Amino acid sequence: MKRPSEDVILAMEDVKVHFDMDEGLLKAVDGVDFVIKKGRTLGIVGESGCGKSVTTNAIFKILPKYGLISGNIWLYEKDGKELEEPINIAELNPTGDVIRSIRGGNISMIFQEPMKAFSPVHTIGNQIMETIMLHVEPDKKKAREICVEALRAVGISNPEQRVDEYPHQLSGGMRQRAMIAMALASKPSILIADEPTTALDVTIQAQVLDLINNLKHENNTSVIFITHDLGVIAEMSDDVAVMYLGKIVESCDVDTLFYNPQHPYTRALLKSIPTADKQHKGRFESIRGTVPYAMNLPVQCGFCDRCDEAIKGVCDKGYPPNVEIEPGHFVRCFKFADKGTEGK
Amino acid sequence: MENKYTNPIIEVKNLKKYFPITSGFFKKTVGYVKAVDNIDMYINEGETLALVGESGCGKTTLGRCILQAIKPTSGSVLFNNKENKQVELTTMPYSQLRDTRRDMQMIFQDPYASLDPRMTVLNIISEPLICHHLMGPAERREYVKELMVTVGLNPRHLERYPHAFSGGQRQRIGIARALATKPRFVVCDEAVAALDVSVQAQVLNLLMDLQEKMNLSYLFISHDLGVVSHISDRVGVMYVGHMVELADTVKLFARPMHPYTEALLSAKPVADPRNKSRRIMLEGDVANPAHLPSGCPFHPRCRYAKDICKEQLPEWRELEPGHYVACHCAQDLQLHGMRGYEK
Repeated sequence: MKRPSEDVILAMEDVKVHFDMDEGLLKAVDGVDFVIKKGRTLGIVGESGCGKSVTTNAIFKILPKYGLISGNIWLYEKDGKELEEPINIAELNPTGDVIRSIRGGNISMIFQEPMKAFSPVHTIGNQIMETIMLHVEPDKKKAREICVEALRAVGISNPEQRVDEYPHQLSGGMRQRAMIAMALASKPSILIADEPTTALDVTIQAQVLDLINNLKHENNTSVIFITHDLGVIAEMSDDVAVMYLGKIVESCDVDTLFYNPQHPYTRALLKSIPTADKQHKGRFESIRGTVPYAMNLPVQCGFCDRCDEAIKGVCDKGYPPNVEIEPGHFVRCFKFADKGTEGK
Repeated sequence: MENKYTNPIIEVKNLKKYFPITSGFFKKTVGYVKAVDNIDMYINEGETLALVGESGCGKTTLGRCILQAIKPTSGSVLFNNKENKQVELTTMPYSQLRDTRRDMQMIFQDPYASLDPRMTVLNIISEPLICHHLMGPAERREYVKELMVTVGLNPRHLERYPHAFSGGQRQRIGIARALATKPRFVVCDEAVAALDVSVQAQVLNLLMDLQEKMNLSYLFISHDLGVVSHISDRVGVMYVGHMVELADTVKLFARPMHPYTEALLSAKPVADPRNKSRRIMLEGDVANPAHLPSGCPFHPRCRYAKDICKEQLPEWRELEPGHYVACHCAQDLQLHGMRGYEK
């Protein structure tokens, strides 16, 4: 696979993650394409169960055993150098050496719940040093110094003391900072942030978002930011992909998403969000029904049962094509089937 | 905007709840967590009062103290009962309180934890009716079906168990249960926090429709300022057990008077990439309610703190009609509100 352009670090090509379970086939991710560019933030937004987390877990290769992954995930750069042969992460052995050197080294992850992501029986320092010793500096003494510096960089006060504390001794915001320190200690080229601020209060969320943005600019890191909060998307991302039932239904830059959304789901989602910046009290425009369960779905547009603009006999008769209606603006909807060139 | 509601259904005066911290073999009390400290407020009939604040600030404890689900340490809660008589809830004997509770109900945050997985929907919704000896079995069944239609559930699912429902549907079951005894006052404790945005909007619409239909008064506990701005008539802001500001929603969002409110409003990410918010970064974490700082509990994080803030606890005062604030400097500050509200 040829590298599409210089600044692309990672490309997803028709990635599917299916869970083969006793009850049937669950298509958690069903054909996802996107690219991660250097120094840019891709926001992935969608409701719970739409496959946001499974998508990034596929990049990290931390899916359960019964998760079948197909398609290609091309990694073009490793340790800051361009690879002659890009690595296809999708084909790697999930316990092999290659993925273990990528995981935590080139690609790091911040998880949603800092309490669950840390081991309660090891100190913060030991857990962060483990990453550093694996990927950056095998010497323990030096690793500890790097660790203290990393904690200082994320704004933890008195890092020399905190480094020997256990996760329960830190507050939620501090734990999330420690998590970020761990993820960034190895200077990754891609940072995956999976709902990193959902468990935090707004004032702490503001601090953490600021921190991620600053660190991103300092190190020119690419970020994949998963959230269900469109406010956070507006603050953080450069490009946005809206997911619904395992598919990306609309992808474009952040400005277009908020000012010129095209897919009926994106529009409905934007309307149903309670924003405090509009001065009105009263009813919300909601989307009727709920997200269907992704098990044994019929061949149709996943949104057609909830869509006000659904065309009978078209939308429920097949998958809509992914159409590039303007350069860089992809919409997966039958309404636009003949309004542009079909993309991947 | 003038408040169109005038008849208070709940009046809270000097309400306190201190949880003792015990230590050692004899469980000696070594200190107190001041979860709710000296709160004064009222809720009018038919209105929605929202409580906002960060986690651990005492919103839920205050809501529960009002319902007497937790006995407050001191203070009074006056409830305007059906005969339009004010009754004191904190000193009421249990048997009487039980009767009064028919008029006060609660909707819980987590629709997965608040429903017993071994009870059918019929049993769940009719339980409050059984507790209050309200109807016979046959009548109850019909009534529950009616309630299910009211909250937007299919009455054919009467015999199903909670696991067969989605999060939004479960929350509707919780709402139907709360409304079964025809209450007049409902505490919604983060009622939509666990739901997805599209479902959240549906449930909020339902709550507003029911309020209109049944003339309910809500105490709406939430940390989401977006939700609060839509649903509430007045908003109270809490910080580690203290109420710091209370005003009409529009007034509070447009021109807050407490520095904490200003920071809270500015911290909310705005869904508009062309207009990234100017955030006020609060330094450090929320104060520990077991070891409150002296004076104003917010002063270590406050940009405008003066010497007096470190020494004296600010008084709870009505600076403008209906606009209460607890800050020494409130009258001298010109604070920014939420964008879109400022004129």
